[in-house]
Amino acid sequence: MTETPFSRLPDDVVLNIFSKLEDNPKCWACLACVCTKFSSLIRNTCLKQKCSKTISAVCADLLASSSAPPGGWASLYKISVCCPGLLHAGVLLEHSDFGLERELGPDENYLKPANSQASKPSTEPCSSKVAGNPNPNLEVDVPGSDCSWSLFDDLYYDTVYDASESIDGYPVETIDNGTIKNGREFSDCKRRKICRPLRSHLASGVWNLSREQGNKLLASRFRGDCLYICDWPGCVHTEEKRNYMLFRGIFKNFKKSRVWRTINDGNRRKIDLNCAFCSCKKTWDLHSAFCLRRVFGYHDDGEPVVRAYVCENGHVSGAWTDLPLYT
Amino acid sequence: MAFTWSKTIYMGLDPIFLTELSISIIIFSTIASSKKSRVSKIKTADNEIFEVEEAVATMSNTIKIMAGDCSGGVIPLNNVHSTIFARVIEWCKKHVDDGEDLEYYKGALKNCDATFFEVDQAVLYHLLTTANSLDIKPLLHQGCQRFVDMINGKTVEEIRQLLHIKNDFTNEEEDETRKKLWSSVVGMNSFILL
Repeated sequence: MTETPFSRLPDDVVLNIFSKLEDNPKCWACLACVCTKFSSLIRNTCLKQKCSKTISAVCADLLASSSAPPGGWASLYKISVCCPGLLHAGVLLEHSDFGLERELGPDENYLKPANSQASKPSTEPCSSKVAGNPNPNLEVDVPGSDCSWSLFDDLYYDTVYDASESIDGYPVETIDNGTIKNGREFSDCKRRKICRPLRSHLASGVWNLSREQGNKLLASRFRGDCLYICDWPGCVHTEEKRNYMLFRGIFKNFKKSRVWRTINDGNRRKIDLNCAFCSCKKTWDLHSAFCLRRVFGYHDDGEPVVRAYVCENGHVSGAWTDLPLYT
Repeated sequence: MAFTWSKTIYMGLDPIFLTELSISIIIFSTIASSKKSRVSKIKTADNEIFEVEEAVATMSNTIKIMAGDCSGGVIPLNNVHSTIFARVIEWCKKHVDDGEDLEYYKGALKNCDATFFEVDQAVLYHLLTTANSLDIKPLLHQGCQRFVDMINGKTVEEIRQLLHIKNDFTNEEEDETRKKLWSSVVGMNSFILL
């Protein structure tokens, strides 16, 4: 392709054009992928100006300690407009164990050969290995399955960042029942379409971040930490079991926060759930690290009422659910 | 004097009225002739000279400032070609009395100025850069809005093809990461064509 004059337009003219698209995140996202010049202008100028306009208090706070927010302006912008999706909010990880699996480590039985697992009750499906097992063995992960690919594998690989998988190779498809073996507790997921709501997408609701919401999330001893979270109810996802109100947020000065000290000093295990807002491949579970308010508790089926995951840059993804009526 | 007055009274005309009328005529003609004489002379990069009414020419803040410096002489525009300048002046003549409200101009882009911007890309590029260098804000606003209308709703590859811009992301993996970061904003399908 020959270069035309447009690639040589003065920067202030290009910024004038881009600023007319500031209410159109999709267009900005496309432009940022066209060429390096556009990418640089969007990331360093447009997004910075937009964030300073829409979440000015957050920006002022974050910039007090450094010249750019952790993960860059693109990450901060994405936090303000994008829902992490069920995937990155950890909703797809198996939680029906009242947090025990994650605390105590994986069930040893799962590490035995596949044919011995047929008798094991499948109340704890393989996805728990995503959280607990740092070195999963694929052949063992699929109990009693002869097929080479299954829904679990698909979801597992989605939680592990795979650079070789191009993003456009993730089509909308329905997983056939035939690929899933019986006896697995993934029956809720079997017939689900793998489509956008599982991954990060533009959030519904108001695009705003507030410290007040962050305070409501953290346990009382962490009130000194500054966590900005999107307004309630976040991006609402209606699922079979219950509704998930997905939220996202960012810590100010995460490495100096008490949450970080708790996670770091406690040598908490990271889980293979990559951050939706930056290139961090692993995150920490704030719920199992006892950083969230204890009053939230669990549903009858073992799922926590609130879950949240934080990456090394202080980006938070999580999900609220409705409080159970009867406890 | 008395003789003159008596003559006009005799003719039936009030002499005081006639005096005031003649004075007014003198004043108005002075004003009118002074307005007509304010013409700016502008020389483009290819040495063509344009004579443009001052009110039209000073829609460009750059020309306004330069006119102050040149004090009546020829204003040189070393970066503007005559063909583009002629178009710009045509636009300025149309909008000389339209003020500074950018919202009005955005609306005008769809109406009276629609055909003005139906030009090929090279001309649009020159209109944008000229409006920028001559600092004609409403024209620049319209040109940028035209550009926006061209690229809005297009995929990454469509934008590249439209503007003939090369994909110069050197590191393929870096490119993938960008796509991963942005794909959630855009939605999956937009990247399929890459």
